[in-house]
Amino acid sequence: MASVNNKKNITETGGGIKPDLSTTSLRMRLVSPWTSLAFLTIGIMLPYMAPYTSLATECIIFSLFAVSFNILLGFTGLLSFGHAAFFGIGACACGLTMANLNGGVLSALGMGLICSLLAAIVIGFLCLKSHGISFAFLTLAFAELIYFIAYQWSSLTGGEDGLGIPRMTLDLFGMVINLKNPLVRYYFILFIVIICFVLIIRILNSPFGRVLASMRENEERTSFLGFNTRTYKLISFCLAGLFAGVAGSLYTIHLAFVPIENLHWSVSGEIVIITLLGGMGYLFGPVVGTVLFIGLRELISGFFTRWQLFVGIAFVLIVIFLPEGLSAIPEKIKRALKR
Amino acid sequence: MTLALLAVGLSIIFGMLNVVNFAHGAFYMIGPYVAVLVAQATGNFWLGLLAGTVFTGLIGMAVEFFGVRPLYGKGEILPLLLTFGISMIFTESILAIFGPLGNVLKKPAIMSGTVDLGFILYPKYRLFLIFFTIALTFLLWLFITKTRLGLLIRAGTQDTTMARALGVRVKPLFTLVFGIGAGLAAIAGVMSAAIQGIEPYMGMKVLIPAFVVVTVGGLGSFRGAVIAALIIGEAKCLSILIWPPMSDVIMFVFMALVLLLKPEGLFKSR
Repeated sequence: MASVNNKKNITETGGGIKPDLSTTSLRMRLVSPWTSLAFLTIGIMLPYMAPYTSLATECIIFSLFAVSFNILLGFTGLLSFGHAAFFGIGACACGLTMANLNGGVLSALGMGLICSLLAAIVIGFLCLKSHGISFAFLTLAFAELIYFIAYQWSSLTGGEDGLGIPRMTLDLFGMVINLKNPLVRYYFILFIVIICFVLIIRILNSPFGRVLASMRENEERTSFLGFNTRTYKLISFCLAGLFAGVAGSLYTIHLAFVPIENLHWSVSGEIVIITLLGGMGYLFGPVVGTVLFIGLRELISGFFTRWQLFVGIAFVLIVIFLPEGLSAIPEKIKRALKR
Repeated sequence: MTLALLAVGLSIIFGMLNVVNFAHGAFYMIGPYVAVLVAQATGNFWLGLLAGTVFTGLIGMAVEFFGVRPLYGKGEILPLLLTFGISMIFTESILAIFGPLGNVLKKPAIMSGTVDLGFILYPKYRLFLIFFTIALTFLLWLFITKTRLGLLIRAGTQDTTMARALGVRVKPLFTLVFGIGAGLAAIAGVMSAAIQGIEPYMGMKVLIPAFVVVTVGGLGSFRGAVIAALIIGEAKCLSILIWPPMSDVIMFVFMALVLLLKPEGLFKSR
């Protein structure tokens, strides 16, 4: 097992001081400051490396979405098959605030966050009555329920056509951020994504995060230790829903459009694939997965429309041969070299 | 009724192997595609049905053999994810080979037209469907509860180690169960294809209702799957009469209610 390292690391990054309490224990492979820094650098450089800016934007938004999902799967051990619901609810709430209530970008973001949080509380409360497989089914069923409601309620959500919203500029204490410019929009979204990442790292490193990890390892034992596992799972579910809602809101801001497909269960499936590809035991695993997934799509869809065939094959191979995900490769090589 | 067949297949795979088969929708779709090919070549619906069922059953066995088998004992989540990936591969392959457009499967000539039941004129084919499903379900139930092979399968499920200690070769049995489940899905697919036609996404569309049925009926329960399929089918039809937009939603509401009141489903397995 990895060495225990109790040093408190403080990394100076562009966004400010980022406390990083990396205590690696058991199977909890939390992120090292160097990895964070590397990903931050890539995040900043990405618009110049990607073929077009909006692809980079999509990458970071789905990274946040996948990482929020991984709070559940990788760090709490809950498989939800309805995570798209919170992404979609966040997107819808954000879009409706901008389109119908004339809200600004920030209030729309807040609205998306609050609505997805509320939905997560209700759905989580109901779904967490069950365990394991039934839990996966229940989340799937609730996500479908929400999808069909949105689909039928076309006067509000635009139904199959989706909902178009106007592009906006953000006036922040006299500083005007022109979100119509793709590059400016990218950095605005990146800024919020980084804030979310810092929060997520902070939460998962906290004693609370440890309780989540211990539930993943052995739920029964955790409850014997006196923790109310259901409450902890509910909080974890809400956090995951909340960050997914932020990702959804950002997606709305990015596209200036709310496609109803956001809510479809295939998006939930995609996020599961992304997380597994990248590695669910790693904080940045889903990010790797996202970049790979979107990259593969861009590469293959150019000459073969059925690009998902390859994603499916890659996914199946990963599940059978490398369930820890691609992020486990460096560690495996290291271990093989030591031997 | 086809939903019942589909759910039964899903339910035996889960009940016996403890594998949530996300590829079930794909099996439901592959069956009719093969059936159409054979039926068009030979002009015989029944040959098509047979070919579709057998072919899909074999594919199911192959999936179990190469994919699911290495994952036994590694938790419930990995097989679920694996079959999810496999369903994606199948759907995309069908799309790549046959294209996104649908096709029709002609029902056999004797089955067209209606039959007078005294109080209502009912399409012959649908009537056939009902009896066929009942008969098939009954046969399957006989197979599992009354035959020696069925006994071995149940033994292997309840206690794999013990069954092996007693000299039962469990692994081929599991492969067989998976094949039977896949074959049932294919039959369900072919049957409904004669009414609704075939298209690549047909499996994806029925997969979730089938999950709902299996969950409501009690995961792994044979009887529960059949009864829940009937209840949900009825609820869906009745709600179309009352308020159409509700028909998509009703089964999820029903499922949520059942799971809240009775989290293990209507009928407990085994």
